[in-house]
Amino acid sequence: MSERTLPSTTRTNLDLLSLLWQVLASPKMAALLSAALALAVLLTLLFSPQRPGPSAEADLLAQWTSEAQERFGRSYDTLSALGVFDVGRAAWFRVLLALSALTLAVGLADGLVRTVRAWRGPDVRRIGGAAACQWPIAEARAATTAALAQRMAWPAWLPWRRFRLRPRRSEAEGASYLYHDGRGWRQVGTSLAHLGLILILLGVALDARLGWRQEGLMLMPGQVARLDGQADVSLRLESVEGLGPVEGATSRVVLAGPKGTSLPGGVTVGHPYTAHGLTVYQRAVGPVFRVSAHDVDGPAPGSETGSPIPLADASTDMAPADEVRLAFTESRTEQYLLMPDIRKIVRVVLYRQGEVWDARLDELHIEVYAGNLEAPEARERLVGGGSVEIKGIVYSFSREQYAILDVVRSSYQWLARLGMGLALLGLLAATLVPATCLWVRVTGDEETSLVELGGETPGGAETLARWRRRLGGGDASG
Amino acid sequence: MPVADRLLLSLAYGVLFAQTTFWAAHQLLFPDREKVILAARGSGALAAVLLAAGLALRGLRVGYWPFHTAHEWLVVGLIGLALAPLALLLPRQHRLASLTLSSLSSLAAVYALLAGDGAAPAIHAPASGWQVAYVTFCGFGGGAVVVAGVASVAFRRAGQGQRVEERALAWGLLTLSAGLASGAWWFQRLSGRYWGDARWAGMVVVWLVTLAAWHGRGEWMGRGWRSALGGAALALAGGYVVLGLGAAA
Repeated sequence: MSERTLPSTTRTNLDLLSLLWQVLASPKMAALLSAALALAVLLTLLFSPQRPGPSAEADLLAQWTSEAQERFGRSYDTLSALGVFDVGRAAWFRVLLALSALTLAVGLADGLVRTVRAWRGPDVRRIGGAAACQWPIAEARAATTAALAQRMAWPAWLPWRRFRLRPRRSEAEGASYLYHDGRGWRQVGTSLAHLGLILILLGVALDARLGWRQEGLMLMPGQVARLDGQADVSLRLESVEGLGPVEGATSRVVLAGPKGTSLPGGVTVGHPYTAHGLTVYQRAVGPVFRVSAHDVDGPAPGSETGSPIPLADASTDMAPADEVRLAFTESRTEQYLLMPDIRKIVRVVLYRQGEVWDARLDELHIEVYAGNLEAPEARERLVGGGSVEIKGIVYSFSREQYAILDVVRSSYQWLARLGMGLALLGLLAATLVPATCLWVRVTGDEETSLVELGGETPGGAETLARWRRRLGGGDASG
Repeated sequence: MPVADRLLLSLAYGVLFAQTTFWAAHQLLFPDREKVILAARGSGALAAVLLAAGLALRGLRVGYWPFHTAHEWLVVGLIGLALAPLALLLPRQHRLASLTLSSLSSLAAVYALLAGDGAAPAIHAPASGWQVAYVTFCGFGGGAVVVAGVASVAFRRAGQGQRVEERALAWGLLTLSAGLASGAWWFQRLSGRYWGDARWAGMVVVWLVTLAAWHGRGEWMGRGWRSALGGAALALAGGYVVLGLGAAA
């Protein structure tokens, strides 16, 4: 039977593949990629805030662009082309992530092969080679037979029993070996950590691609929001309980699903509410005032309250109504009301002392303008809601709280959670299990023998020196 | 009773100074006296016990979660520093590092004595156990990364103290990972996203740097200027974590 040889092109391809495998599985590659990812995350911090995503409102995007152009001047275009304002969506960052995932996958496969090898025990024919844990560290020559030298080597193993080393014996190519490879659990840990990181990347990528999210829904009590892209589901805010910082407030919501099933629940900071596959998060709460106005000397005979005067919120396109709601946010503490029937404009400012912002703020400064917008016709101050009469018109302010909610559909979070657990478990083993591997090789004939020692041990050089002394009996060197 | 915890903590600071003195005496005067080393290690352990007892009593006295003020966090850090020479630096050749660490703990004790109870809260009303785990693990991780960095600078030549650096780096990587995972979980409970705020992102940078250092440790540890440079970078990164935690809430 003749031996078949592979064509040279196939051998070259196999060599290249093997080289690529080695490069991708090497610790150097992992170190380089980790450093590159660190740099990428650092860029998101240096060039913060990052550009709003494609789903952001046009106004927000325009505001961000003008601020960034002002901040970076001429270099804005270059930096923008490099993707530093939008690292998460930049092509180079995605390539980096894909390369990291590939490296992790190759590392996982390579690790599994190493794990199997470690459990089987080292290939004694490779001992003394260039791989880690295989260099000879010390050797001793003895004027004894190889069999006697082998018996001498055995007690030398005893000091390591406290590290739970279980030596195995093997014979190969005229040499006898005594060895222990305790790196199996460490290798299992590395593989688990790689698997965990792959699952995290996979979970995040699937959620980004297939998940759904609607952020910043500002709802007043009683208001219902239709969720974009979730045709059968609507969200209704019943009430907001607890006056004060958002951490102490609870939003009572109802998620109405298909077939009219309504599921009520409470949302607080750190305790989201899940129903119909959607999760509701409470981001903020704040003060909102129901405002109405009526004429004290109105034309309605016998009426104590007079006739209502239609109002319109200047920031919306809504038609004037008998009652409007004015919601104040941390960045918007000033609102305007239009009263087209009597040609007046009312400016309402929520007074804020210092930096404190929460739903307890209740001092309103009200200014009424008629024609001349430079100087108000009248000013009043109102604390805690109620009514105030200005120039024959009674303005009523009834205080409530609004909630800003995020609604998320995320089906792959379990993958990221599982990945985190596996990665931590793997790291625990990969970093804390000591890398113990020891071997003794005895070669020789009927007159002289050579005992060689190699590996990595707990305690390092000091322990190995003691090993060498115990081997003794010859011209020890190391 | 009100002064019992302060008394214990003050006593612990004194024992920490004694520990530094013992290590210095061993390094400079009695390099071969095992009893001096025993005294140094014993005072480290005693200081750790006293600090922990003081912290527990203080928690009982004030009636809130014990790790609330910067002073309390400092005491937790001191326990770590007092125990580090015991946990990390057992071999004979690493006793210089013990002296360095115990000197650091003495300096921190001086600060603790000066700052006292007046220090501002480090975490304002922790909202969740995950937040507490996030800050605690990251704090320990940052401290371990600083130790790894300092050891890398101190032991620039091969064979000097690589086990110290490697073990500290391993602890740093592990605890930072646990901290980031807790933080990610906490942020997920807040907004549905695992990605946290800017400070958390900063800690991700430190974690990635530590990960790079761990994978490439064979290339720079104990290799002269590379070791010094890598160690300095690690110490800075770990310092960012420790100093940045004050406002982590």
